[in-house]
Formats: sequence, C-alpha cells, structure tokens
Amino acid sequence: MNIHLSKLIALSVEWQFSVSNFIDFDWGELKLKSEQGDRNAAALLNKEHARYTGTDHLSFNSHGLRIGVKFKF
Amino acid sequence: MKKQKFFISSLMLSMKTKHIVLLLCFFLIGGFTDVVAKEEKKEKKPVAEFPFKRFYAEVSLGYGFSMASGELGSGINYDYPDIEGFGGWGWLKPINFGSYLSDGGCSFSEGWKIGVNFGYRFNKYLSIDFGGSYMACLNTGNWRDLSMNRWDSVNENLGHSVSQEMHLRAESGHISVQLAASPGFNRVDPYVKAGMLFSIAHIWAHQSYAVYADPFWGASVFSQQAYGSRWA
Repeated sequence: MNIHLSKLIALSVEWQFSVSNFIDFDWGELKLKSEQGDRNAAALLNKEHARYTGTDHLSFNSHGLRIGVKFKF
Repeated sequence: MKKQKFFISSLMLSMKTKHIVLLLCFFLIGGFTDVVAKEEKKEKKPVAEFPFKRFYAEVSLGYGFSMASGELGSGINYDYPDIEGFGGWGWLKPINFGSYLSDGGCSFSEGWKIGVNFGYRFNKYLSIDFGGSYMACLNTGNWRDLSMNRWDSVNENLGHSVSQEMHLRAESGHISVQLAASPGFNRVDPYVKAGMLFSIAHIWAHQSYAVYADPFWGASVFSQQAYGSRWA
C-alpha cells in the first residue's frame, strides 16, 4: 500500500511473492582444491569413498516484506 | 385634474419600478457576492492528490523468506543393506539422522533485498512500475552433514565414520516490469502489483568430504575440499 505523506513523498509497504523456475546445481562441477591424507586407506575404510557429485534442484522462490520511499515528480 | 392624477399615478409607478429595480440589484449583488464567497471557499480547500504527479522514483529495503526450498544431497543414495540380509563386510548406518539431515533445505531467496523502482501513473487507478533489485543470500546455513558409521552384521562398530558437508550462498539481481492497480485513495492507497521478474544469480559452493578412522570422527584419514561458482 502507498501512504501519501505529502504531495511529493509517499511511503510504500509491500508483501511480495515471486515464483521462479528451479535451477539444477551439479556438485560434480566443483573443482577439487585440496586433498589431504591417505586416499587408499580411506578407500579401504569406506568402500563408497567419494564426495557427493550429484545434482540438486534449487529454488529462488521468495516472499517477504519490502518498505520503500517514493519521490513523486 | 386628470393630468394631475396621471402625473401622480405615473410617479407612484415609477417609484414602484425604482424599488423593484433596487430590490433586483440588491439580490443580484447579494447572489454575486455569495458566488464569489463560495469560489473563495473552494479555493481554500486543500488540493486533492489527483490530478497528481504522474512519475515516481522509489528506493526500498526488504527481507525475503524462502519458499519451496530444496534439499542438498538429494541424489545421495540411502539404500543401505538390511542387517539380516547383509553379512561379511558390514553396512553403512547413518547417525544423526533426522537432525543434521533435515536442516530445512536450501533456498537462494532468504536474505536482504535492496531495490530502486521507477513508475508512471496512467490515471488514478493504474500505473506501470520498472524495478531493479539486488538480493544477497549470504547465510551459509545451507548445508548438510552426512555422518555415517560402518557397522558389521552383528551390529558391532567397525570403527570409522564419514562426513560430508555442502555450503552454498548466492547473490542475485532482478529486473521487473509490473502493473499496479489501486482504488486511488488520497491518503492510504492499497494496491496490487503483478508482472514479470528477470533474474540473474551468482552461486558459490563449497564442499568438504572426510573419512575418519574413529567411529565418532576425531582425526581424519582422508579429506577433500572442493569449491566452485556458477551463474544461473
């Protein structure tokens, strides 16, 4: 809603909703920056020795409060 | 005598007409002054909001909350073999299940938002609004910790654990075109807005993976760190 404080200035208060498409984020695209320890020992301990390289579906959907000042001219 | 009478009657008539004229003049002047006074009163009234300023510029600040968040690591396979049907080398058992794993999911839409809008009012009821905004989803609470212990077929701990963490953050820019409709009230004017939003986002990701000889973590035998970023 707009609250007209004067002929030139108004206060606006909104509750916004925005819906967007999901994006796929592929963890396999990340670059390995560091590795420490014994890979073979880890492989022996954990047969499924690997970091997760799958894909996640992530959202930009949002809702929230917005307060603004309008200058009319 | 007749002449005298005529003179007197015509004098009376002229006096009457004079009075009527005077009365008319009085009312006319009175009416006129009344109109002038009314007009002055009208001028003294506060100027209505409309006809109005057609253009506006707006600066805004807001806070957004996530909707429809997604879980990280959604593709991780939790198909652990059942203890009865699996002997020999052991099986993976997730611990902390239900606490770390259900961390509320991930969304890039929770955070502070600043914006600038420009608008034009077609009339009292309808306006078009062009906006640009920036949103920062800087919290690194988007993570998932997969902590697992390996147990054998008789439910004895084989003595190691695994952890995996994923962190994401994003910054996004938005350009919007919206139509706003309002009832056109002068002071408090509610409105509804609807339109299209074009967004671009930059996402940063960090992932860490570690294997520990100890069943409850401790010093890691092996660890990996991976980073990356992408536009969306």
